[in-house]
Amino acid sequence: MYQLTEEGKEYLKKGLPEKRLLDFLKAGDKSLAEVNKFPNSQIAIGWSKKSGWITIENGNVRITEKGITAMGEETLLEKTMKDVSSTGVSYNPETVKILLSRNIITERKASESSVVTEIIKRKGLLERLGIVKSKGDELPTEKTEVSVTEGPKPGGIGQLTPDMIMYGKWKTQKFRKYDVTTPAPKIYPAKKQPYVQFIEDVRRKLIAMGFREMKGTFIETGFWNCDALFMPQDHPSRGIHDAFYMKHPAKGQLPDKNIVAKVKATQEGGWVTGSTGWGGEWSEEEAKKLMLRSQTTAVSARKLMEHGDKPGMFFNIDRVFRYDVIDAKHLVEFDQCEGIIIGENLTLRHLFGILKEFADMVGAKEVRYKPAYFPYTEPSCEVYMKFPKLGWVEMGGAGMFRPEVLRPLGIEKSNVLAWGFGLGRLAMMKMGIDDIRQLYSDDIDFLRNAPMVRL
Amino acid sequence: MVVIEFTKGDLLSLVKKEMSKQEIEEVLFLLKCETEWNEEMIQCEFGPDRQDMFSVEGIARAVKGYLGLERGVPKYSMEESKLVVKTEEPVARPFIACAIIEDVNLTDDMVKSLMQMQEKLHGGIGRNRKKAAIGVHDFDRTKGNFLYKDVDPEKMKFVPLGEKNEMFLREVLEKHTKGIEFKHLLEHHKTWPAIVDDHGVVSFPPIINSERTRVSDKTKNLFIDVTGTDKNAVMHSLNIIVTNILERTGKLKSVKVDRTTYPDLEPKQWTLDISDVNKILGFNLDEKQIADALERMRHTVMKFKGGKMSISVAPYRTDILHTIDLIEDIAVGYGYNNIEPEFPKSPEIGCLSKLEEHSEKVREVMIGLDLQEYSGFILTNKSDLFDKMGADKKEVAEILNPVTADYSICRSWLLPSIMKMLAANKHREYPQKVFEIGDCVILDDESETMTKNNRKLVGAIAHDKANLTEMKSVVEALLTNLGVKYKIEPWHHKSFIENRCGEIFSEGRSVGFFGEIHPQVLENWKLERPVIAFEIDLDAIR
Repeated sequence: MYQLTEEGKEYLKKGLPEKRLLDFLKAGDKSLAEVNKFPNSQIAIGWSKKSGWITIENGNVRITEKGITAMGEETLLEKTMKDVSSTGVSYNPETVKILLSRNIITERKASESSVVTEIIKRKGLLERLGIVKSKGDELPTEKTEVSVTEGPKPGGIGQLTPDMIMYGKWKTQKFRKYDVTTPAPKIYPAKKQPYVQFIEDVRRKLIAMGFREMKGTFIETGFWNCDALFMPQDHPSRGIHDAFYMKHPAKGQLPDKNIVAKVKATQEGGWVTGSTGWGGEWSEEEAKKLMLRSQTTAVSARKLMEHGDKPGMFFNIDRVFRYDVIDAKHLVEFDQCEGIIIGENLTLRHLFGILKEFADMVGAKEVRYKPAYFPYTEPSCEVYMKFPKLGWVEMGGAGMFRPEVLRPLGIEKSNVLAWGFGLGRLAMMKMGIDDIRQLYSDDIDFLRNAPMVRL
Repeated sequence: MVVIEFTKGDLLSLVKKEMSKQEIEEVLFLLKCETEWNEEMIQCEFGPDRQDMFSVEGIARAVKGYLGLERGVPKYSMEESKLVVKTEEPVARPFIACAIIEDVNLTDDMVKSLMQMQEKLHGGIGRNRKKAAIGVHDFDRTKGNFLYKDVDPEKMKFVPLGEKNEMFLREVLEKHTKGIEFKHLLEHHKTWPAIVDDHGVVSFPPIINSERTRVSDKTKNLFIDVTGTDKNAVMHSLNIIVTNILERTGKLKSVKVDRTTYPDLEPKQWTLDISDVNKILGFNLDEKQIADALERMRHTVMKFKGGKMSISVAPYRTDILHTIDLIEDIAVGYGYNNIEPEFPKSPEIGCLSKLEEHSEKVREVMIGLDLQEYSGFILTNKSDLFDKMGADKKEVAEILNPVTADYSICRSWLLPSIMKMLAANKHREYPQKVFEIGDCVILDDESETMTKNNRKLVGAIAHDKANLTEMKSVVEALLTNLGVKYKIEPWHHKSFIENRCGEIFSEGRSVGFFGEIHPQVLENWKLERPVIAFEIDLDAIR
């Protein structure tokens, strides 16, 4: 049996501090200084942050989507407070634990309470022994012996021992009744990092489709990251506010002279590809600059050169880097998933076929293809998938590599389909999180409690 | 991505058709554009290819085509004006192209759109005014013929747009906001470009126009100049801005630059092989279907002969570099969502890379050893990587233009990553047992990229009684279960307590180390519990 403390009674009347803070923030962001003037501000900030209702950035307190939802709802804590206030009991042991720790409720004095709560008081002992509490009416009178029972005792057998089994002692005794609803101590299984586990699942699916995994390096030359992909050297995404360039080592080497000459000719005037090219003069020095790869397409380009003009299917899931300011939607580094399919009779229909397959894989109900632009593919598209809860979501880009990309790398006869996915968005959807930083969370409690992710 | 903003009413008055919000959204989606609505305001997001759609007039033109209201390349009639621009090809920006548009009706919508288009073209095809910059003037406030020439920045002066007093060009570059913003395009030259008429400076490209030729609501005739360092960009910018204005208002008059007449609105001719089209699309369209799709995309099909077709492409379509671009337009015109998907046959059996296969095995054993997996970032900083670890600084891959100093180098070992993670969890329940499998970047002169990725494993355990023996048990269990033959020898490493650190050897090479983390290192990370850790080079034990 529990009862509300004085503090608890006040909260029941006026609302929990964190709820009142939400009301206060409803009108708009407030500075931390303003919020600090709020009654019980530290409690309010602490719990609303923990519940993910607010964010604090640069001393600015803002209500989150979750907070807005919480504002209109009766939270579990509030419900339990009401239950305790009216009936003295609650069926939610987790919430009771929190309310106890916050001194919002207390246990009733021993004289007023049942034996059950006496046992709960000795929570530490029970938890250590891994024993759940017994029903009051069948408890022995010597309360201190309850949990250390070995062998037959009044009220029946507690812990079953090897001795009882070997000598059949259990046959003459009753087993005490244990209450399976009592909280058990929490343990955490060691497991894969949730996003890593999700990525492993995606890998497995791609392999089942017939893709072979390819690998590359984080640091690439401009040649492979951009030039070989028919990106002009003055393309805005090659600027220092879009890509990371290396200070040390600053320059790398170009591949085989023959290929460099073909890429140069294609960039400048189209070479034999039938293209006009970008015009201007193509610089080897620019192509030698080392950068953190901004897309995994560099891996595909290298693979095309190595594999040559014969059928193949390859994929890559790995880290890419973008010049961005880190917030809930952006990271400087994140994982991308992309693949290529090489073959003589591949067409736009096959590209849509692959994208459709991915949609099925991730549980999307419908697919739409939007014409789009990427420097290295034509035709190009973005794929939108419809999910039961979120509606239409853009899931990735795809296309057929341009002749300007293929010919210099020695692909003469084949068409090459290329597709890429932002895995993060998909993972966040499947994990039910809305902050991309959580994909790489360093919070051990998050990792310990995150459920397995399902594709 | 480029965002173009306009009102629904303006778009519909240009399209000359009533359309619902949904219909507008749909047709723009099929024309590569994502829309966001703010009541009657539409924001369209475009990629950098369709610069002709960087204004509502260009968007309306495409929409009319897609809906079949107008087909093929628009016809532009052009008369000759008497204006001649003589050019001395100024060294900083040698190219110039001009046009006059008469009888314009400068509504608010028109002015807003013109300014937006100018800005977006400067950022796109103009490459931030370097390759091309556009000036728009009230033609009636100019006098006589024009001269585009190099001038002495200390001697030439004029009243820049929005100013009251005359300024020397040098002053404009140093004091005017636009001068400061685009200074880098001119400052290394001794003489700077200017367009002058009988009254003096008309424009100081690419910085600012003169106040004298300011466009106002009374302006009837526009003079447009485009200057730059790239002839194609200059001509294309002029074509786009002129044809987009004509979509709404005015009559075009050409301008002679020396002996060349601008703008050059002659459509470009392309030849397309029908079999190439079907080879890309994957199903057979007949000549009529292909022509229909092309005309909806505002190309004109001239003739078919022997399986080939001749196609006229509008002068504003600067994105057509190859017949593949026309094939895409056919697919877009036909409708991506009308194409039946087909799953391609896989030529081979799929497989994991050796690296990931290896990592999966390691991961499995680590979890069996009761360590929770963590995954961190590649980018870090020297303080975390060396200083806090008490380790000697080593050469690492370093970024030239980091966003913040916190993420300015690539990690070369993993132990700091897991220490940082433990430091973030000092108030969480102990024991804490964690591991990470991740890539580091190692300098490598032999490689084309002067670097290589190196996959490593780190593990750490923190609790009140963590000690060397516990760590050694974990390391040995791991290596044994991976089938790695190993030998352990005493080692000295500054991150660990003296005489409580071991080096792991396999097949004669060092593959990792383990030990009790030095209390000074714990103090650096503000950790208050003993930590034991190990790191193994997974590439070395594969």
